Parts: sequence; C-alpha cells; structure tokens
Amino acid sequence: MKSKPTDLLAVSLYGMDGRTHKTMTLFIQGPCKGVARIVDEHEADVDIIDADAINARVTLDHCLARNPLRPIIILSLEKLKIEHTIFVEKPAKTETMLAAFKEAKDTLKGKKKKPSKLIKPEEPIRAEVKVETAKVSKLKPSKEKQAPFELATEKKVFSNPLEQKKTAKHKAAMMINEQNFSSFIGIVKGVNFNDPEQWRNASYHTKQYYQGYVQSSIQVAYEKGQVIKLNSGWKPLIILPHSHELWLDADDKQLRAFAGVEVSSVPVSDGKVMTLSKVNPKEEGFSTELDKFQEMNAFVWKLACWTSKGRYPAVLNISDPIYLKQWPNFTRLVITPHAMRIAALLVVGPRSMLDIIKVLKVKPQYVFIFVSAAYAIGILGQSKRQADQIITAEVPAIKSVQKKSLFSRILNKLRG
Amino acid sequence: MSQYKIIFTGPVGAGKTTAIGSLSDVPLMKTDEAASDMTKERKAETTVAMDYGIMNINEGEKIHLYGTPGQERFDFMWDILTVGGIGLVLLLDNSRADPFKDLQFFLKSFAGFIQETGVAIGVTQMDVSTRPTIDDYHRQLKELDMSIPVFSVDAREKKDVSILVQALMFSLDPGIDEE
Repeated sequence: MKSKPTDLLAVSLYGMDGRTHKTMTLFIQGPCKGVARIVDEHEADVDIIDADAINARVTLDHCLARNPLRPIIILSLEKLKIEHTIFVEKPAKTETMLAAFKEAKDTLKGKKKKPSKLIKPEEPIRAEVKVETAKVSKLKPSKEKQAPFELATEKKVFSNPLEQKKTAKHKAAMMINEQNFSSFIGIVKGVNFNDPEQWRNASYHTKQYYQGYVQSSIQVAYEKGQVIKLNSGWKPLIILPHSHELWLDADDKQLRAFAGVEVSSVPVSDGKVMTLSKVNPKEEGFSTELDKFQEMNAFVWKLACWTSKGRYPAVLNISDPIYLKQWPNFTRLVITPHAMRIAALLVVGPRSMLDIIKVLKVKPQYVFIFVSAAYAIGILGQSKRQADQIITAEVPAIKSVQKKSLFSRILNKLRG
Repeated sequence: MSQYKIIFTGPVGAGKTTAIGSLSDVPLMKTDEAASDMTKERKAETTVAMDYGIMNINEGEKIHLYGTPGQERFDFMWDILTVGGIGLVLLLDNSRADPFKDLQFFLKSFAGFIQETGVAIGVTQMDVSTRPTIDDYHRQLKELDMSIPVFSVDAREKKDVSILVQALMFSLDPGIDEE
C-alpha cells in the first residue's frame, strides 16, 4: 500500500545533473516504494547530497549551516564517514536507501536521540598538550621563483543571504580601556589587586556561575550534534553547534548582570538547577529573529569577561606557564586593556601569569581577565610538566629603539 | 621624511583598496604605471594599478600604505613594493572558491618579507560566506607552523582595519604600547 502524501518524506537533491536527478526520482518512487517525494530546498525534511559531485563539501556545509536539524543523506562511491550525515554507498541499493530514509525519519521524530540530562556543569575537557621549548616559527623563503600563477576568480556556488542580517555577529569589536574597565567589567569584592600577596586568591570557579553551565551545554551540543536549549530560570539560551552560533533574547546589559550572579541552588525544575532540552526551530520560532544570533566564541568570551571581573579560573595555577594556541579573533571580541600585547607575548611562547604581569608591567586584572576569556573559548592551556616551569619563552628580541618608538606612534594613530 | 610603509596584499576583490581607504588620511590614490612594449605593434599597453594612501602619525611623519596590484601576474612588482616595508597585511576573501589556496599562495610569495617583518591576516566577506571559519584558517597555519593574527574584517570599517594593523604592530613587538 502506498504511503499517504502526508507520510512521505520531503526530500531535496543536490549535486545531481538533470539525468541523475530524474533517475533518483524514479528510484525513490519505484523500488523505494514511494516513501519520499522530491521537493525544493526550502520545503524539504531531508537533504540528499551526491558527495562525488564538485563542490560537494561546500554544499554539505551550506546544508549544515542552513538547518542543523535536517537529516542529510550522503551518496558516494567511497566509504565516507562524515559527522551528522547518513551514508549510502553507491550504487545505492533499495535496502540501504530505505534504511537511510528510516534513519532520517527516526531522527526527525526524535526517536534516536534521548533528552540530555545536564545537571552539573563540568569543566570543559582540555587535552593535555605538550609544551615544547618556545620557538618563533617563521616561514622559510622559497628558494625558487614561483611560476606565474593565476588565482581562480570564481566565487562559491552560493552563500547564505540570511547571514548578513545577523548583525550582532558581524559588528566590530568593543575596546575597553583602563579608564572605563571597572565600569564596564564590574568590580569583584574581597580581593585587593594592589597587594601581590592576594593575587593567588583572585580566582573563581566557573561552575558556580552561568558561564560554567553555558560551556558545558555547548560541549553537550557538539557531542550530540544537535540544537539544544539551556533552561536556567533566566532567559533560554539556544545553542546551534553546526553554525557555531547561540541565540539569546537579552542585551549585553542584561547578560552582564546575570553573569556575575552565583547560580542559586534553588532548582528550576525536577530538582535540577539548569536543564537542557532539544529544540525544533520551526516550533520555537527563534530562527526568524536574526539580530539575536551571536557568534559562539564572541558570546563565551564576553560572558567569561563579565564573570571573571578581573579574576582567573581556579583550575589554572598562577605560577605555571600558560600558552596560547592561536590569536583570538579580536575584531569580533570585547578587547580588554592590553589584551593584544598579552596575546602577542603568549603566542611566542609559554609564560606564567605572574611573568606576564612583570614583563608587560600591567595590572594583574588585565592579565587574569584575558586568561579567563581565552581559556573559556579553548585557545589557552596550561603546561603540567614540571620542566616547563623552568623552560620559558625567550624574551622577544629587543627591537631598535627607533623602530619601537615608530610602532608606538603608529599605535597612537590607530587608536585615535 | 620617513619611508616606512605597510603593504596590503591579497587576491582581487579581497578589499585592499577599501581597507587602505579606511585608514588613509588622504583620498585614496591609484598610481598607474603603463608597461608597454617598445614595439607597440607587437604588444598592447598594460596598465598596472596600485592603491596608495597615507597615514599621518606625527607632524611630518607618514606611513605609506601600498596595495599590491590585484592581478597576480604582476607579482614581479611585489619585491620592489616591499622595500622599506614594516609589515604585511594580507586580506583574504572568504567568498572565493578556495581561500586556503589564496592563503598559501600569498604566504609563499611574501615569505622572505614576512620572515624579516611580520604579517596579519584579515578575512573579508565572512558575512557572505561563513566557511571556512577563523579556526579553520588557524588550522591551516598550524600546518605551516605559523601563529599569525587572523581576524574577521569588514574592510569598510575603520575599526576593523585599525585592529588588524594594531595586531600587526604587536606581533612585531609585544613590548610596545602607546606613547
């Protein structure tokens, strides 16, 4: 008996020429017993991508970014294992195709995925990374003259027109200077930063704050590869791992206020302080409010800044060397005082927080807040080996006084 | 008078002209050099355009901003342009078909200059095409054993371009600060 139209999976096809498209349509209608119908992209419940087509990867990225909840079936001659997709080896057989459609259907009905039970936030898993002797890496000049080369001029097949409307994601960075640091970041009580003896007490536990729950929720979202909502008793936060985005109906002022509050032990529901739930964007309706989308790292960075208030994460040791894996994307982040200097120093090689304070002659709060934010987005780590306490980066070569002064004048100009 | 310059490079359409325009204190100039064969019958004239701007940093002191010609076949000019340069700004267009190919090409082309000075990378059009992500660029650079500032940049925004050039300055010397 044929499926009713309402039972049919709505499927869109990608990477297939006219003839292949028609063949696939007949295959689905015939041997696959009409379990699905071919529709346009915006109507589909499931995407089928020919992974052997040119630009298949771009197509896949587009599908993942456009609608993370929609199942994707990948057809290929090669045995592929791509996250968040259902693989069907070519030439597609009826049984494997039907199994793929069933899996897609189950995914849509949510039968495969059980609700998450996040209660306590855990510290993010940080891989142990061996910190080698600091070295400055430079690209060696090519010895041979490079042959004339014409770079391709073509653009990508498509881009996401909605992305430009997500204005909060693409606005320029906010720069905080020393004068407005306290008013913007807030003040932490109980620590006198002018007393070096108290610096070791200037730490905080992310688990006790909204920051910890957000970071753990993000980890869950990535592990499960699905859109989830963090319910905190405050405003719901929606996490979209495929597009590295978050959605929150709150402005920075509201977020800053909530960031500094130690999370209450009063349960939100079922004895849990915060809960996670799955999200269907169509039902939630949030996907239409584009100005509330935020880039994930930018959000976590500023949340960490407002939670830290000039403290450092308690999991880190103030005396052990820390290292930066990469420069932060400063044009889209809150830039705290001396953040770029600290980043420039740390990418050269590992240093302890105490060392950075000494070398750059800056207030400890500025180093601690940078460390908190960089650690929160996973680009900063701490060495564990005793040997690394001895091995520290060489002091960067002293530039000529003339050049140093020139760079300073350029900085003055740029900061206007 | 100082002859210091900052070089802006990158593929056609990446935003070099716009970025220089965002920083320049004077209206942007396009310097045209006609490269013509001596025997006009055999070869048509070729015009090579460079973008040029000026940043006044002090009374009488200027930083020259040069944009390399967009056509990569004029790469022979790049060595000339980099003389006296204090650093390189590489702009990449994220909506191009293969930005990583562009990345590798320009890093290789300017390898000698980068080794002597430094480079900062601005990725434009990220609101048009979100992938590759900034983290993807860092993964590429890690394979090249490089740790360079890579920022998402709107070349029309002076603040973005300013932050990128500031990062270039700090990467040249973390010890500097405003005077």
